[in-house]
Amino acid sequence: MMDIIREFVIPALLSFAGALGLGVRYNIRRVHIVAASVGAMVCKLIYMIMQYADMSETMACFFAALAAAAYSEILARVFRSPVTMYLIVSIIPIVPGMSAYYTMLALVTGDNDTFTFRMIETFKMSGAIAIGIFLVPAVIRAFQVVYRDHRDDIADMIREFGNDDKKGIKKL
Amino acid sequence: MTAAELTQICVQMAKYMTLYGAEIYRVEDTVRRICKAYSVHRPEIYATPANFIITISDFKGVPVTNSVSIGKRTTNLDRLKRLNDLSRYICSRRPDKDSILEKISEINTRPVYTLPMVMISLFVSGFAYTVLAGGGVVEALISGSITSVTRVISNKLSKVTQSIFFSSIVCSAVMAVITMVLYNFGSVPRFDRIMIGVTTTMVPGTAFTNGMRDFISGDIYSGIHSLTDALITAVGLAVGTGFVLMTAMGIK
Repeated sequence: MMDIIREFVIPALLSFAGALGLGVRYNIRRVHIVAASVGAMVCKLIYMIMQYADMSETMACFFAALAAAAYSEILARVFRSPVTMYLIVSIIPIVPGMSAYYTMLALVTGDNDTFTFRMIETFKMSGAIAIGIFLVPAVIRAFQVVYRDHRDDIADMIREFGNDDKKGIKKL
Repeated sequence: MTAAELTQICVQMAKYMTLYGAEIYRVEDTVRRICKAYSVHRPEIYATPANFIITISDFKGVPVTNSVSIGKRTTNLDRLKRLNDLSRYICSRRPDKDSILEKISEINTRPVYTLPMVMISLFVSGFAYTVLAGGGVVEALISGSITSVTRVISNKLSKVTQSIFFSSIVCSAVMAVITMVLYNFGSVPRFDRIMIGVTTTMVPGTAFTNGMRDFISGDIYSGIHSLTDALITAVGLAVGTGFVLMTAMGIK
């Protein structure tokens, strides 16, 4: 029990507090700042759970970014406000600050092996975050276009599916 | 509303949305929607993070052009949300020009958090991220204070210079100098934790996120612009910290 608190609950709460502070800097107001900070907490939790399941840091970053992006898209639909408002704050806890710092340190001390290793690690992690952010809106947009162009077909399909199961399956 | 008035409104909306940290595809989309609400169906829009040009044809077919150059972008998500709401209002109600311009200037005077409030919250931020990076309480307290101080410095610097590279170098160098001085006095056991914690709060999140989102919508130019912005800030942070570390550690 104590392990769970130390491993998961405290880091999650800390990333919530940290996101709250950055939200003030970006001038987010009222309920939105709390919502965005909860996004940061969700993101960190997913990251830690993925790492607990023995996943590599890159994949953990990817899934955490995916979760943050999905969460922000949902909130943006609920509150009718720009996605950026929640997304910027949500992905802060998984930013590869540590490996970026060690990359710089290795560069300064002239340790080329560590530098290369750390740099690749940093790029992998930030690339994973970028793809995570990239994927969610791309999929949503694709669905939106399909829905817009085939709205009537989809409605027909659903209706027929409800009326007569066999017919609907045939058409699908 | 005449075509000239419509371009005026579009230019104002685009300028302030870009200034407060909107993605460029959102700006373009908003302007297109506003034009459509006033039954102008084919506006020619050229939107980048640095400038905005719109050309529409009036009822005789005479083209009307209006343009604006956009200064240094800041992130003010509350005002961005208000502008977003305003565009929705314009599309549904179609108000006249004066009331729209009045609403825009109202949004531009909306309150921001006061400096002490920002400093306190950045203190919390720096504290939290330092503990997350594995620092102890002493390091976290120092890191929180440094974060608040660098905020004041970057506030002052933004009035002097437009260059993000310069201001990120100065901020990170100040951070590194304070840390190394405290380290040499022996009051900080692990200085790297402080640096990681403070750097996390200075990460160019807005530019990175906006750049990626512009890429998705196919706006490659704006995406490159924003991502370069992010890269320059990150390199600036590394240069500032690295330079001080080199001096402090005596590396030649």
